[in-house]
Amino acid sequence: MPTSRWFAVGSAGESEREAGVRAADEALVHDDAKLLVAFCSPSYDLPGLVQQIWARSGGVPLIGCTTAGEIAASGPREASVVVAALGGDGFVIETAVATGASNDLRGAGAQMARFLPTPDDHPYRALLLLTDGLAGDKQEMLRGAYGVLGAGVPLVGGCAGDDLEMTRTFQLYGDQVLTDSVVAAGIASDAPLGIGVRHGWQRVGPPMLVTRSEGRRVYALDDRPALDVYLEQFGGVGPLGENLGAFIPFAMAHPLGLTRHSGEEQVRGIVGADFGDRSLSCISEVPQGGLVWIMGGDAESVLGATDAACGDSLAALDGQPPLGMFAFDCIGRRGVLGDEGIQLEIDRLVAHARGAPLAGFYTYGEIARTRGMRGFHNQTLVVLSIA
Amino acid sequence: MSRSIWSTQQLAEFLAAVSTCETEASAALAAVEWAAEALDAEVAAILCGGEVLAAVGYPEGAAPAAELSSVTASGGGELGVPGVGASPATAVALEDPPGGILVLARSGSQGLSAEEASLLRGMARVTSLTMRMLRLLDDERAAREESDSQAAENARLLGTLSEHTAMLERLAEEQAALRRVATLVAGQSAADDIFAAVGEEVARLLRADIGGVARYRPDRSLTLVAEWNRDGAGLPLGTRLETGDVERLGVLRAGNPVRIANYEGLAGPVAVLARELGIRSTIGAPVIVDGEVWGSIFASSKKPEPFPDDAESRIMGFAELVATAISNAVSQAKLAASRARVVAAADETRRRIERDLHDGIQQRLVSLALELRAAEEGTPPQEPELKRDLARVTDGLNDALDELRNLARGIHPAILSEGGLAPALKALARRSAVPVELDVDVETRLPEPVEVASYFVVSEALANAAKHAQASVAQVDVEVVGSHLHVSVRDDGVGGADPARGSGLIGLADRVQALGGTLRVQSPPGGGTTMCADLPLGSE
Repeated sequence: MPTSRWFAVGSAGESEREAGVRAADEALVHDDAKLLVAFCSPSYDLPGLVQQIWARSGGVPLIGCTTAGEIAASGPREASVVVAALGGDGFVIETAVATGASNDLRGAGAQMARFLPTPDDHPYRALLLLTDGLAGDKQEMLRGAYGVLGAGVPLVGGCAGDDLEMTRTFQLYGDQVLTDSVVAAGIASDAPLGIGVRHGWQRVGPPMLVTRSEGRRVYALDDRPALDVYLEQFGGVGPLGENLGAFIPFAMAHPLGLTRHSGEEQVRGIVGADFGDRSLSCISEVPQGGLVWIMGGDAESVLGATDAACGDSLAALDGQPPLGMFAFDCIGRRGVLGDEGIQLEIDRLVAHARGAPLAGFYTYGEIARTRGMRGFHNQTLVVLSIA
Repeated sequence: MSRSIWSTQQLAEFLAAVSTCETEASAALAAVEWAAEALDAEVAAILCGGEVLAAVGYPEGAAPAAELSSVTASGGGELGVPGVGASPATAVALEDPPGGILVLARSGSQGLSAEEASLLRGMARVTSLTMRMLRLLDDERAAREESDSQAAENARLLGTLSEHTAMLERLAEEQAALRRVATLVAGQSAADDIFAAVGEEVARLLRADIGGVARYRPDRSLTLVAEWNRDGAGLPLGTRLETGDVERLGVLRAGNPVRIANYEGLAGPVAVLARELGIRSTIGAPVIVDGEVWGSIFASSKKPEPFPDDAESRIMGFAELVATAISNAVSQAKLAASRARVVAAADETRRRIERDLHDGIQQRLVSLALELRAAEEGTPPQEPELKRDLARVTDGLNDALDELRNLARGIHPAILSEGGLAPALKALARRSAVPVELDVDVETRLPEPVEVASYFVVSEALANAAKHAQASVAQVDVEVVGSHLHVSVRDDGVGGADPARGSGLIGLADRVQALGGTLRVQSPPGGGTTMCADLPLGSE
C-alpha cells in the first residue's frame, strides 16, 4: 500500500498583509507536514513573517532564506514569499542549523550532515542546504558534509541572496532569523529524489591554466595578466579593457568554466575587473592551478540548460511522476535571460513538472554534488525533483 | 596549453597544500581530498598495513579497509563507490609510510588516462615525501619536547631546591639569633643586656638600619630602652618621645605586629624624628607581659624597598623572649624583696626579744643577783647554813643569767650590732667548743643583713662542728672579694653532713638567698665539712 507523501506550495506578495499566513495556509494542505521551506524577499519584516508561518504551522520544522527573487509556478517574482511544504509518512526529515558558519565552514557542513536520518525503509536520501550567500568558500562546507556522508548522499541547495545589495543575506530556521548561517533539511524518502545540474554555457577557445589566483581574484592565466588573456579571446581590447560599464555586461555572458572530468563544468561568473593590476573578479573562488575555459552562451543555450536539468532530474525518479520540484537558479542566468527570458524559463519548468507544484529562488550560488567531490556552482540551474 | 603543464601546476598546488600540514594525519587527509578533487573522483584513500589512514567518499568512519586494500598498485581493480556502484580504481604505492598505498576510484566506465595516472603517481610521491618529513619533524619535536620538559622539570626542581635552601638559611639565621637571646634570658642576664642583644639581632636579621626596644609609659609616651644602629650613631637610651600619630595608628594599643610603610603626612615627634633620620619604614612587634602591652621591639629601614611580607612574624619570637626576660626579672625582684622582708621581719623580732630580755628580765635578774649577794654578805656569822644556801641561790641565778645572755646572743648578739663582724666572730671563736683559727679580713662595717647572715653562718657551722663532726680544729676565713663577702668555715671532722637535714641549715640558706647570695656545704664522708657563703655587698 503506497504510503502517503505530499508536496504543496503557497505564496503571497509583499503588499499583502499577513503574507506569511497566506502563504503558509496555501501550502499546508494536510495536517501532517514534515518540512516547510520558505524563500522570501529581504524587504520583509523577517521576524514577523517567520512568526506568522510558525504560528500557522504549529511549529513544523522550517528552513528558508532571503533571495534575489522568488520562483513559483505563477512566475518569477520580487518582494514575495514562497513556502513549500512536504508531508506524510513517506518522508522522514530532520532539520539542523549552524551559526557563525564563516568561522568554520567545514565544521558547519559536517554538523549539518550528521542530521540526515537513515531509516532503512526510506532509502532515498538527500541533504538540502541553504547557506549564507556572502560568507566564505562553499566548497569547504561541502567537503565537511562529504567527509561525513561520503559519495552515497547527494548534496543540493542554494546560497541566499539579498536582492543584489550584496550586503547581508538571511537564513530562516524554525522561528528564528539568522545570518552567516547554514540551515539544512536531511530528507529520507521511500521514493526517489532526482537532481539535475545544467548551465547552458559552452566552451569557447582553448583551456587556460590559472597560474595565479587568490580567492575570487584571478591575477594570471598562463603566466600572463588574466584580464589581457581573457580579452584576447575576443579579438582585442578596445573599450572593454578600460571601462567597467562596458566590461561587466559582456563578462556576464562570458563566464569562466572550471574543468571537470564528467558532468558540467563549474561555472564562475565574472563580476568585475581591475584595470590597474589586470585581474578578474569572479563571483566565487577560482582555484590556482586549475584549468579554465572561457564559456559562451545566450538565452537559447541557457534555456536549453533548463530543459536538460529538468530532464536529468526527472529521469532519476525511475519513471515516477514528481510530487513537486525545487529550482535553485543563479541570478547570473537571469541577467542573460532578461525579463522575457526568465518568464520563459519558468514556463518550461512548470511544463516539465507536469502540474506538480514548483518552488525556488534566484541564488548567489548553487549546490549540487552528485558526482565527484565538487558541488558548488555558479551561473547554473539546479533542479531537485521529489517523487 | 598542454595538459602536461597543467599536471605540473596541479602537482605544485598539491605539494603546497599537503606539505604545509603539520601532522601526518592532516597531511594524509589533505592528500586524499586534493587528489579526489583534482581528478574529479569520488573515492580516495591512503592505507598502511591494512589500516585506513585517511579516506574520502565513504560515510564517516566507514571506509572499507579490506576492499580498499584489494586494489593493488600492479593490477588496479574496482571499488564500490557509494551511490554509484562498481567503478574503476587505481592504486599507487607510497615509500612513506612504508607499505603505504594511495587508492583512487572514480565513477564512469573508464579509468584514469595516462596523464591522470602520472599525476596520481606524482601526488603519491609528494605524499610520501611529506609523510616522511612530518614523521622526522614529529620525532624531532618529541625529542625536543622531552628534553624541554626535562629541562623545565630540572629548572623547577632547582628552583624549589634554591627556594628551600634560602628558606632554611633564613630559618637557621633566625634560630641562631633567637637562641643567642634565649641563652641570655635563661642565664638570667641583666635585662639591659638582653634588650641590647635583641635590638641588634632583630636589625641584623631583617637587614634593617636600626633595631631596638621601646617601653610604653602610662602617659602614652615612648622611652627608648635599647637601640642598635648600623651607622653606629643613634638616639641616647632613655630618650622619651610623645608618640602622636604613631600611637593613633594603633601601634601601642595593638596586640599584633604593626608596619609603618611611610612616615609622610604623619604628625608627632616620633614621625618627625623618623623623617629627620631618613627612616622610611618600621616594623614593630608588641612585648606583652602579664597580658598588657609593655612596649615593643622594632626595626627601621632607610631603604625605599619595603620589608618582606613575613618580617613581622619573624620578630614575634624575639618579642616573646623579651617578654619572658622582663617577666623573669620582675619575678626575681619580687621574690628577693619578699625574702628580704621575711628575714628583716625575723631579725626585727629577734632584736625586740633581745631588747626585752635585756631591758626586762636580764636587768631584774641582775638586780636580784646583786641583792642576793648583799644579803649573803650581811648574813650573821652564827648562820653558816643560811650563808651557804644564799650563795647557792646566787650562783644558780648567775648561771641562769649567763644562760639568758647566751640565749640573747643566740638571738641577736649585741656585740654584732655594736661592734661589727670582726669582734662578734672573735667572741664566737672564744666560746666555741672546737678550737678556731680565725682570719677576718674586714675592717669596715658592712650592711647589717650581710653581717647578720655571716655571723649566723659561722655560728651554725661551728655549732655543727662541735656537735656532729668530732673535729679537732675549725678554720674560719672571712674576706671581701670584689663586690661580695666571702665566708668559709672548714673543719677536719668526719664529714657526711646532709645539707637537707637540720632546720638550721635551711633557715641559713633562706637568709643567704634572700640577700641574693649563695651558700654551699661540702661534706664528703671522712673529708671534713666546709661551709661557704658568698654575699653580695651592693644593694639591688
